[in-house]
Amino acid sequence: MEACIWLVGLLFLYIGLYIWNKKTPKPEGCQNITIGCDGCQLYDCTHNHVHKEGESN
Amino acid sequence: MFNLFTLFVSLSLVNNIVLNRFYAICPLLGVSKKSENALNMGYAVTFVIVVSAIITHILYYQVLLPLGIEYLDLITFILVIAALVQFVEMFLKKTSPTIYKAMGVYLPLITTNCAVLGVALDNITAGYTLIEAAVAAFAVSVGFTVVIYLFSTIRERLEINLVPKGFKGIPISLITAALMACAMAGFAGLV
Repeated sequence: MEACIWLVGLLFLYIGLYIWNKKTPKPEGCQNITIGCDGCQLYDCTHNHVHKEGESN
Repeated sequence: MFNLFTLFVSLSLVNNIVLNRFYAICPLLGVSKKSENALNMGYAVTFVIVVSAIITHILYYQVLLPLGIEYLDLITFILVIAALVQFVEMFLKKTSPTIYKAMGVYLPLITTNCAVLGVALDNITAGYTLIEAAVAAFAVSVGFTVVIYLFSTIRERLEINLVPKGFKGIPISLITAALMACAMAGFAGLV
């Protein structure tokens, strides 16, 4: 029972912080900063530079 | 005090997390094309590893062990690290645009960095005290930063040198990393 409560609590904590972070606007001049990781060819990864190029188009 | 110093040297040089244990290879290859980016990544990783190591250590010994749910350490640490990264990113957005500009863009990459989780789990496995865990986390981060910075400076030089077509890009980078790992093995037996 403790395990379930603990896990649910952590999940809610993460989801809450994720939404809060996404809703927080980026500072001036930081809107379009990307680094486009090209460490591997895993195109599913959202950090892959392919996605960054797609966003800017 | 001497034990802490030994721990620092051991984890930053002798048992380097990247070249000896092969954690964090992804950022080593992905964010090492420019030395400036590599250094900023190193700073961001240092901050997140140290803070997450302290938090996960406290959570393990103050919450998981007393409740008898220490078997949940892996999933707890994953969620805590992910939440911490979100919080730090949001905090930087609100309070310090300058630091966010330099470091913030690397924070989402760190969420999936196995070095952060590896350090948190290793600290528990090794049975470190809180101070030892913090020093170990800092030592690992310093080792990571030094390696990724040196690697990026070598890659910058490789960019302007003649490299056979088949070796360009990742292959020559991996060979470089292997040679760096051989060099790092020279520290074996230091402590």
